[in-house]
Formats: sequence, C-alpha cells, structure tokens
Amino acid sequence: MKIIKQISLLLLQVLFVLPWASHASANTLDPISAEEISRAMLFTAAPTTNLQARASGADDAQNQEPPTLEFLGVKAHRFEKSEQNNGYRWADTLVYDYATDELVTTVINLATNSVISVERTREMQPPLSENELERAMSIVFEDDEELSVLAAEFKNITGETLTSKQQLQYKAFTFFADSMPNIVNDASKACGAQRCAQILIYSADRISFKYSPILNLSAGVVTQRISH
Amino acid sequence: MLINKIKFIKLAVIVLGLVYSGVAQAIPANTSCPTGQVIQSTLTTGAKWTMCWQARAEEGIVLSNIRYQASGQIERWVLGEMSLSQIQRNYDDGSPTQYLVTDSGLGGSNSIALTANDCVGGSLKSVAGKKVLCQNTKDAGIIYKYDAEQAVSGKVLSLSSASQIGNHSYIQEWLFHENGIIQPRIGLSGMLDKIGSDARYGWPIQADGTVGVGFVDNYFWRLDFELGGNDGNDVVMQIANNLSVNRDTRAKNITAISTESSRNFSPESKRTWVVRDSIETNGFAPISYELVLLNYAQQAVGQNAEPWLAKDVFFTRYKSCERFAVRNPTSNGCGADVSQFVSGDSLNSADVVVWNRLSYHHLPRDEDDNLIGTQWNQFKLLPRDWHRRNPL
Repeated sequence: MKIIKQISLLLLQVLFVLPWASHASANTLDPISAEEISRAMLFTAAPTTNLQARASGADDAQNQEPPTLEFLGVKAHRFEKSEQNNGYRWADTLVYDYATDELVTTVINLATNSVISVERTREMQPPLSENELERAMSIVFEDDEELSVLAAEFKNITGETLTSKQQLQYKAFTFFADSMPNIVNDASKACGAQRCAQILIYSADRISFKYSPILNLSAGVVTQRISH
Repeated sequence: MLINKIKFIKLAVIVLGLVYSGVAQAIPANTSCPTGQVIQSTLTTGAKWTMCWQARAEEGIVLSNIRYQASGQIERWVLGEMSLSQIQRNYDDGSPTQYLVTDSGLGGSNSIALTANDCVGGSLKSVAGKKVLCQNTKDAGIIYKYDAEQAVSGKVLSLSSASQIGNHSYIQEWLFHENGIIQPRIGLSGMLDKIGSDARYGWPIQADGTVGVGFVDNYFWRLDFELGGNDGNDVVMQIANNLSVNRDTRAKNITAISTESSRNFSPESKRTWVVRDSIETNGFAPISYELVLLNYAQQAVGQNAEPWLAKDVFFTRYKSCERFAVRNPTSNGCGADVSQFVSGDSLNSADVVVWNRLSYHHLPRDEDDNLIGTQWNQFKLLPRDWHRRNPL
C-alpha cells in the first residue's frame, strides 16, 4: 500500500501542482502576465502589503518616513540571444532597499517557482513607483515653505486656493545629481547614490507649473527648487 | 492485490505521460517571437517583411528578427533587434536633464491605448488587452520611373505606437519600404511641458509674456544587425568621398572599423558607414546596409560635455546587458552609457550593434499653444548591394 500512497501523492502533485507552476503555454519572450507578476511578488523580499498600507495611509506625516523596502515592479528577464529559445519563464523583480540605498534584483524561475539569483546594486534608480510619487508629493505638502510657493503658483494659474494634492496632476522622474551638474546644490549632490525625484506639476487642465521640486526620498526632504 | 497494484501503476504512468506530453506540446515550436506577436506584410511589388514585436516598459515597442524578401529573391535577415534606446531631454533654462526611456518609460502605463482613429485602414495589436501597436500600409508614391515608359507606385509597411510622458506625446514609427529601406522615426507632439517667464530660454507664446521653454531632445536608436541571419560575421566599413585639393574631383575612400569606435557624420566628406556581411554576397558583392541621416541640421554635442553626446554614432560588439544608450544598468560590470560600451573589442567578423543619435531643438512658437504639430526626426537604413540589381 505504501507504493500506492506514494504514487497517488505524485499524481496529485502532477495534476494540480505542475500545471499551476508551469502555466506553460507562454514562451521565453512572452510578456509577464498579471498572474505571473502576482506569483513573482511572493518571492521578493519586500513586505509589499506594509508598503501599500503606508502609501495609502491617511496620516501624511507617516508617509514622510522612508520605507525600508519599496516594490518597484516585475519585468521579463532578459536572456542572452542564444538562450531566447530555451523555453524558460523567468522574471526579474525590482525592490529598492532604502536602508542601504540598493536596488535588489531577484531573478525568479516562474516555471518552478524558485529564486535563481538575488543581486544588490548601488546607484541604480529605476522609475519611481506610484507609492513613491505619492510620498514625494506628501513631503512637499508637509514642508510649509515649499507648499507656500506651490500654493501661490496654483492661485496664479487657477485663481483658487490649494488645499489638497487632489487639485493637482503630477508626475516624477528619478533625479541624478549629474543631470544638472552646474547648478545642483549641496543638498542634491547625493542624488543618484540616494533615491531622489523631480516632480513635474500640472493643473487639472494640464497647464504646467514653473515650480518643480527635487526631493531626496531616502532622506525624506525637499533638496532643491527649480523655478524659472 | 498485486494485479490491482500493477494496474494502478500502469494507469499512473499513462496519466503522467499524458500530462507531460501536454506540457511539451504547449511550448510553441518557434519561440523566437512572443506568442502571436509576429508581423508579416507583403507589399505591392511582392516584397515581404517579417518580424516580431514586443512591448517593453522602457523602450515601448521593440522590433526583432527583421527579415526582408524582395519579389523573386531569397529572404534574408537584416536586424536582430531595433529599439529606441534613450531620449535625453535638456531644457534651455538649465532644468535637470531627463532620460525619458529609463526615468519614465515609453511603455507600460505611459503607452497610449490606440483607437481606430489612430490606425485608419490598419490593424491594432494588443498586449494584455491594451492596443499598443498599429500595423498599416501607406502609399509610398512612385517607387521608380523611367522617362514616359514606366512608373510604378508602391506601398510602405508602417508600424506605429504612441507614448505620453508628461504633457508630451511621442509617436514611434517604423517604415519598411518595398526596396528594403528601413526608416525609424519619432514624432514629438502633445502640449508644451515647461512654461517659464524668461524669454532668453524660450519663446513668448501668449500676450501676457508666458514663455514656452525651449529644449533639446537627443534620440538614440539601438540597431543590432544580423545580416544574412548569422550574427557573428558582420564588419563595419567607413565610406568617405573627399574632395581633392583642387576641389574638382571627389574620390571614394573605404576603411574598415576594426574595433569598437565612435564617429561623427561629415556632410563635407559625405562620410557614412555600412554594416557588411563578411561571407554572404549578392553573387559578386558583399551584402550590406548603409546608415543615412535625414535630420542632421541640429546635431550637436551636449551642454554638459557628456561623452555619449560627443559623437553621432557608436559601433559596438553585441553584449546583452548593453541596452540603453544612457543610464544603462551597471550590474555585472556593464557600462553605464554608450561611450563606455566602446571598450576596445574587435569588430572584425562580429555581432555588430550600431547606436545612432539625432538631436532636435524645439523652440516653441505661438502655434504650439496649445498643441504642438508633430515634429519628426528620422533616418534610413539603406540596402547596399543586397541584390545584384534593382529587384523591383
């Protein structure tokens, strides 16, 4: 009976686990599906639920505290040319570790649900997540001096009083100190080694603002103001 | 009991076999394209283009495995991959430089969902339910003519996508002609993204003195050549046509670029380059493609002495980690920008990658308020000796 039990167990694994694990209709170059992204996120070191809760929290002051880990995204692993027909389903998950200012790249084999490698790299700054964009704007709103400049321009453009982020449209680029070497101030010089953002702000009807702050998200402060 | 055991084991083996065979069959035979992301188009003269496409968060649409076949001729590979590998934005007022492909991305949420109006007469291609690519054919006009005897009109295959970054809209388009010409181009449109008040750095576009701030876009294309299908036997040749001292003759001069290098175009000497297959010929001459710039009027070095803007074109040996012309990931020792990709590797019978850059300075005008008419920047890849004679 022992062998029957073992084979029964193997059958169960094959019938239920293997199809789930492989989702094998995709080939090496296929886009990573939503289901695969969800699965890959399980293997990252980032406690994403905590980060999402922090980002959506009502307490803006809390948002100023740099999170330890920020989940940035999942993308298809880039194979060598000679490996593009190998049938592998690998994904790279990107997490930024604010404690060490490192990008953590985890390569995951989606067919076996296993981690291939984990690499930590300094001075690599992928695009900001939505969480980071929201935290950046919260930092601006908590800084009285910055808020007054922003509110004045908002009044000038719209004739209204600025009371919340929801009255604005905004987006951000990752900012590196070497992107404006001649006018970067001392406070912004760490940008690149640390994670920084430049925010572009628009009114609801897409009029762009002259005011464009640079923030050090690792330190949680506005470091420079671009305003011509 | 023993018989029952044997029956059960046999059943198990059959089930296992069925499951594993099903998994094996689920993997497509041709895995060099993402599933279902193949473009095939036959134009008026019978010329055929075949390629794969994929949508990436950074570059947006990337084309790969590009093959061309003129009517009655053999099909040959031209490019392994072609992408827009960076857009560098420098505002005239000294605002921070932006690297749109890596700092923001042309794909993902920045990819504009196309509608039927964006693709009249064509077909829309989707990724995850979002229509991101338009395949179309357009009239190409007269593709050759001789006196009053012959005039043949043709079509051109057009693949286009669009991205929204801030207030700017970018249209990426690739044109594939009947005669083998490939024409990558990018169109800038949308609304002005930066408004100021200092007219030194832009153009007053409203009566109240509002200034549209000028900017320079540097577009970098990455062209991974794969002439004839073998990616390890290409060579790069520089062609110049210099005037004599008396300026009465113009003599051709061809030199091999044998190691990774960077170069500038020279309208004066008509300097350009071809990537040539070192083995395959059209019967008597090596097959090659030539780089032809169409927009060179505003080409310039960078305002911050960036080494990747010091030259117009870079030639490198393929490395998979070299993906973005600037802000390239430096993990595993990879270079940070295209100037660092030039590291002395041999280009003698190599897998050659060409990085071509175009500069465009946009000085706003009143007509940009509130929508910018599309400004195109483009170049051509021109087949040279691909066929023994004009195949059309």
